[in-house]
Amino acid sequence: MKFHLSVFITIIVAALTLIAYFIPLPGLEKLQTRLIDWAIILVGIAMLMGIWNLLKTHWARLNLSFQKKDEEEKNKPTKQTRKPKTQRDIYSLALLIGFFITFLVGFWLTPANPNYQQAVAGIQIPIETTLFALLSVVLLTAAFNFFKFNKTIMGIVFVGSVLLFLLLGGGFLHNMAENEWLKDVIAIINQLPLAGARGILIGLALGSIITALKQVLGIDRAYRE
Amino acid sequence: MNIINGFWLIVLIIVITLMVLFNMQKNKGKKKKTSFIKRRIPAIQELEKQQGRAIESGQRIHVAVGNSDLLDENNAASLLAVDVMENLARNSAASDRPLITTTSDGAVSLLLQSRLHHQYCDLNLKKLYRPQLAQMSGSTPFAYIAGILPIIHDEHISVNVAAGKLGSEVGLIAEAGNRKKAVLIGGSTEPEGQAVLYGMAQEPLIGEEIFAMPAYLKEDHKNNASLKVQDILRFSLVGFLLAGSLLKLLGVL
Repeated sequence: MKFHLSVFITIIVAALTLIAYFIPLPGLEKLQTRLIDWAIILVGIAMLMGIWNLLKTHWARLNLSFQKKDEEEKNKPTKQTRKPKTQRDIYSLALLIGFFITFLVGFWLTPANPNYQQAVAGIQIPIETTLFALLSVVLLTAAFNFFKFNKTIMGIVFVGSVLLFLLLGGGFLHNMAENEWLKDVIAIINQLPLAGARGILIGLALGSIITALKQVLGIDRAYRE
Repeated sequence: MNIINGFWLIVLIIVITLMVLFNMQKNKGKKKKTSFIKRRIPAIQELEKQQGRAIESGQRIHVAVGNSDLLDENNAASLLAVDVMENLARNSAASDRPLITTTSDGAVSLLLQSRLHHQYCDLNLKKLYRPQLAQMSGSTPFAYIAGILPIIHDEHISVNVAAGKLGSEVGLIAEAGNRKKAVLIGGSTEPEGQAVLYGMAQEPLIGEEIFAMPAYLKEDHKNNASLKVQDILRFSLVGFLLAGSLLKLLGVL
């Protein structure tokens, strides 16, 4: 079997971090904290590399677009089938300009500066809220489409549960809930989504455990040399 | 000396048992070379079909790895997505439009690049590899989605694969894909994302099915062992839950 130093280091580090949870010896706990701190630093550096990759991608889009456009012009059939790329280039340019302004101002004022934080939040929060509003419209349309194209038992269950939980969540049955029997029924119905979600989460937890075990035992590696 | 308390002792025993079980299953699969009969998962069958179609029609596959980073509790989802991406990239590496993958975390983007680069080197296609094929498209959930939308729009995507931590914002990927007639297949480790995918994806993956993806996409004893251990764990847990309920009903617990 081929010896991989990186696998050996991974197994040792994973084992030490894991054992420190079970056997809380002071020395081992200190080592665990140190290892986790190193991981946080490395993840921070990796984030910078990710941002560099993002900037390179948008820079490439900015440059390549003209080249691609020329090629498209050359090979263009009688009818233009694709939208010109000028619009998209503006978005990439906006991203690059926005990034450098935020980066330079952040460097100058430091991210802890309240004015800087307010300015960033003032741009980011409205944009993300807009996307969220858009998402709610998309989800509403999807819910209608789901029932329209899935007139199966699941479609009916879906619409039924939407209506039922709208009634329950909206407090429409609040006055009727004085009836003991109805109270119990509502309590059981309210438990159904929780039970389903728990079932799914247990399944996911099992999958996560197995994936983690594969890494700890060195059977699988997330990276390649 | 009470170094280990009762709870951690139980967890330690479970972890060691799992390790032993995993190694046993792996070695068994290695020795016997028997074919392991897997249950049918329609989403994965559809994915294989759509992958073939995409390659033949010169379209691209996009793997959305999602928002988890390597330090949060969902990091297993990222590791799984890296595996899925590698398996899908193998077939499309030589095509005109190879697979493209996106994440919202820098460290995960490095892992994706490392695996993709390795895959291209393995296939003797090193010259065709570009780091932009695995990119970090944004660092918050909505910034991530905003970064994906132009990719779906401009990069001739015909299949979107969701594999990782994606919340309800995955609906925007589905909507953008619908406009470009792209298929959405996959699952999420977030219950909200799963609910949206159930309604909007052509073929959703429910619960732990997402963790079975590597075993279905690549046949080997390691993946089969993980699938078997997952099954053993699931049935043991069902047994414990049923026994617990019964004992509670009988007033023993």
